[in-house]
Amino acid sequence: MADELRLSTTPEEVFRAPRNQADQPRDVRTHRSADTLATLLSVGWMVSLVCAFWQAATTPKAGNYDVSLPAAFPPTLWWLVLLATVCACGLLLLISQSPTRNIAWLSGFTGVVATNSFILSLPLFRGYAVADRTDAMNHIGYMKDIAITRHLGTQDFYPAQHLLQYALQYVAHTTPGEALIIINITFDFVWVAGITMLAARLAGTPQAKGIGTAFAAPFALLIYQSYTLPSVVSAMLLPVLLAFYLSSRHPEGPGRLSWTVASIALATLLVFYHPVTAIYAVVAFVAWEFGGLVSVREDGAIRLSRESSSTPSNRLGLSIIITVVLLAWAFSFSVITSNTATLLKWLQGEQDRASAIGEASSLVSVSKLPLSQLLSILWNGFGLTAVIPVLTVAMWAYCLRNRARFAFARERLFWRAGVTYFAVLALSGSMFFVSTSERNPIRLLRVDAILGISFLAWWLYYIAVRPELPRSRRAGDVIGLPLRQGWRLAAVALALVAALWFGQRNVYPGPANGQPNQYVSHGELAGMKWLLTHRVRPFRQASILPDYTSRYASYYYGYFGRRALGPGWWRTDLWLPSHFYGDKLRCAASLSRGVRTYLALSEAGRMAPLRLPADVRRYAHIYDVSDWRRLGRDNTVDKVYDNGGFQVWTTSGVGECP
Amino acid sequence: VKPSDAEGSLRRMTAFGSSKSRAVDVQAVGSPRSEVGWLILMMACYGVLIVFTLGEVAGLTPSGPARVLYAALGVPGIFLGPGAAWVGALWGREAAPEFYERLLVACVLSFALVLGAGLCLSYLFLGVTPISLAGSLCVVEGVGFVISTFRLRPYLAPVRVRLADGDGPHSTYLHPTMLVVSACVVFAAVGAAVYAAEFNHTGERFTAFAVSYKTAAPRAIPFTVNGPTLPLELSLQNRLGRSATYEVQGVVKGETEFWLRSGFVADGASWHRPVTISVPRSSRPVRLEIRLFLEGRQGSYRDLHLWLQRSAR
Repeated sequence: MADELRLSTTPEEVFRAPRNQADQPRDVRTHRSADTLATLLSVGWMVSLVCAFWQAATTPKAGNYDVSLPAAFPPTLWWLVLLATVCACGLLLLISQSPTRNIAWLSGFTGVVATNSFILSLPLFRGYAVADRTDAMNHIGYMKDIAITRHLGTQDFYPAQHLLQYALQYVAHTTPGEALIIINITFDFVWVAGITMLAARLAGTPQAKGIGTAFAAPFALLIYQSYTLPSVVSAMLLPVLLAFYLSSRHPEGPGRLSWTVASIALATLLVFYHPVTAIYAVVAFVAWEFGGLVSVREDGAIRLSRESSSTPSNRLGLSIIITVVLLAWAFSFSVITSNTATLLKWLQGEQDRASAIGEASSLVSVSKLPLSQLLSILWNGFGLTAVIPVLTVAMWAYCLRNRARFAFARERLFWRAGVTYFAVLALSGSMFFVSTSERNPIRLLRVDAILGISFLAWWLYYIAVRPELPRSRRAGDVIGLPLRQGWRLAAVALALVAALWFGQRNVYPGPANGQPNQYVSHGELAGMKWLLTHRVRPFRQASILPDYTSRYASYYYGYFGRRALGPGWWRTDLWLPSHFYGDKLRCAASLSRGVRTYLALSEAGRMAPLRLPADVRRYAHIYDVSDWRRLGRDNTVDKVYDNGGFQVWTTSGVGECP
Repeated sequence: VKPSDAEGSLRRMTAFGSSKSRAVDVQAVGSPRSEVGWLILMMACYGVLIVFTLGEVAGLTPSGPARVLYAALGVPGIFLGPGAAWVGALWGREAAPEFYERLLVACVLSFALVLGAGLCLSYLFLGVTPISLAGSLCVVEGVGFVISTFRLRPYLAPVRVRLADGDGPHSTYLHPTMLVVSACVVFAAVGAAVYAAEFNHTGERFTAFAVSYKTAAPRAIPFTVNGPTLPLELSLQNRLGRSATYEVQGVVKGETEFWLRSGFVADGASWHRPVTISVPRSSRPVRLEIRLFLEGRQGSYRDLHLWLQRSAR
């Protein structure tokens, strides 16, 4: 009777079960305990999140420059969001065994999406005008081009995000900063739902949804998950595309044509979202088909054989579509062709010193940090993203080694995933040595991390979650797991909690990861607007931060409209030396001889070095109180604008120091 | 439990949904309930987009808490609605994907439709404007909506919906609890967003203070002044979140050159005043201090300065 009940998954059989508590067998009571626990966990994440909302709403907004956004909120808020995600993920792992608890899964899924969305919306609660002053300002500029000219910018080779921004800003009346955060939050849903769907499709059962959602909960891309960059958010579409593709290829799956249409629409979108991600997609789909050539016999022997079910045209159809659209669209832009030329030169053996690996090694050698601090900063800055590919490869190798034990490791799907992953890993590995616009390790590893999470969820579902061990080994614990499997699940849960902890603490820049808080304050926006409208040509622009004013010019005039500002629009700002004055710079007028120079100074530039450990702060561009006093006494420079957070100074242009 | 087709799901609902509706656990995927729910979602999103389009035509610019609500509705209106209509149109009566999968497909299809509409408007038609973009999305969504309604027609018959009541051996009382607490979460989220955006009056409060050269054509302030006087313009912008009164003092060589009082400057308003400075003869540059005082605050609030030298000619 107990076994029958355990196997009963249909409601008819459930209703036939005895109703009296005392008469109920052990498994039914176990279900009751699991239900109670699931309810508690559901209420747990909801209450934690409501409290976190309350705390965020009542925390004062940023008055001066925040060195770190996490530090600006009370620590209890971070404990509350951690508790909310732990409850939601606990619920997901708890119910991932049961085939019949959709509502509980929905609760866990909602918990993960809601909590992550809340964390990603914190810049709005803190009152930031825009959460990122680097690339995001250029994307606002591209969007501004559309608003000013009514057409896409002539250099806009990835217009998808800019059109989404435009729709939100001009149809739904958001601010530019809000539009970016709303897009980021929407893509957080795509990230979680995409990984969940792919894990379920790969595992071949909806029960894998739970672990898929739980694995999508940590911010695996760390600070890049808080920036709304097309390169990163487009990568979040890759698991979705793969899941759609699998749905369209399923021989017995309903709505194959609909899935195919959705796949083609998404593949096209991907090209217009970011061409590099589209290249990753082509490589992944070609590798996926090559992986299908490997099969494993029942005795574990590996051999090459073709699958008879598919014809060449439908095998590579999606790759061909992406390639054709990519060639037709992206290669009409000069920036793409120049990057491709760099790649070709590298393939011919030309060394590239501006590559990511070159830049990273120079940074490490310059930093002169104690090893423990360096490792801590590296771990907080890149650790989680870098660990995922390592874990994925290790897990694939483990499953391969134990293929006699794990049935899924003998399927073609396992090999497809493995070959795809290695191909993507090889592509991103090669990008480390080439100088393109993509240099940050997280940006380079984004696809590896996203696909790795989906694959890990699939494999660990079979290894740690799925109840397939013999009944004799059951331990009769509260959730009815076999003892050995319970340990495995506990290990997965612990790793998940650690990933949640590191992810949430490093999703925003700060002293822990050594990154500057790049937010744009309202004072900066107002000050920059004054500067841009009051500069008189000819002039030279010097700034307290690198590449500073040009991004605000994009913000106000559009990326293309910036060119209309006059000759020399492409010139980058002169980054002011540390302490304003160097050995050869006795007065501000000698910054740029014979030309009037505007100095853009801000709290952001003054406070940003505080993120660095005290030992190495001297290597950064720092400006202390005595430096500001010295600047005030310098009779070759006037102070003409001040709003408390942003100042404009202008030199005489004579170039002679008294 | 996923019914293979619509009839199957209908039978399932009839079989289990009579007296003890344990629909919580079977949560019929592709069932009439979920199809009707999807239609309601589509209608709501379409309604939002129509309101947005009409708002653009009427030149509506929401402000205050209404703007926050408007922006919040923008997400389903633009990022869900167009795709949701086409999910119904594409899948129709076939066993549709699970609810979260439908939301996901609706999301990415919406992105693709916004992109498609933008590309077409930019390269083929009159250009991208708020009205043209919202209007074209309305048309695309409308077509999808008509096809969906046609394809989902069999589900439009009234369906009696019953919530789980919580007793029974394998029941769960998660459902009603979740409904209540989820509603609290949604209210808390919207309330917190509105409060933070409109009623939390902390944050950056500042006054921008600037000095520029008062000339017909834009010119930078000269370092060497040709005449005995220099025309300047002082300007300030109040972003303190309240009305304020300012005073401005100009000091040259320790002597007050001018003292101005602004009168009340409303929040967000600007104040401009031309002044003429007498530049004394001197062998070295003379420092002109311009100090801004804020009513009720000790000491100067902002300081600007210029170094001036009168030309020998």
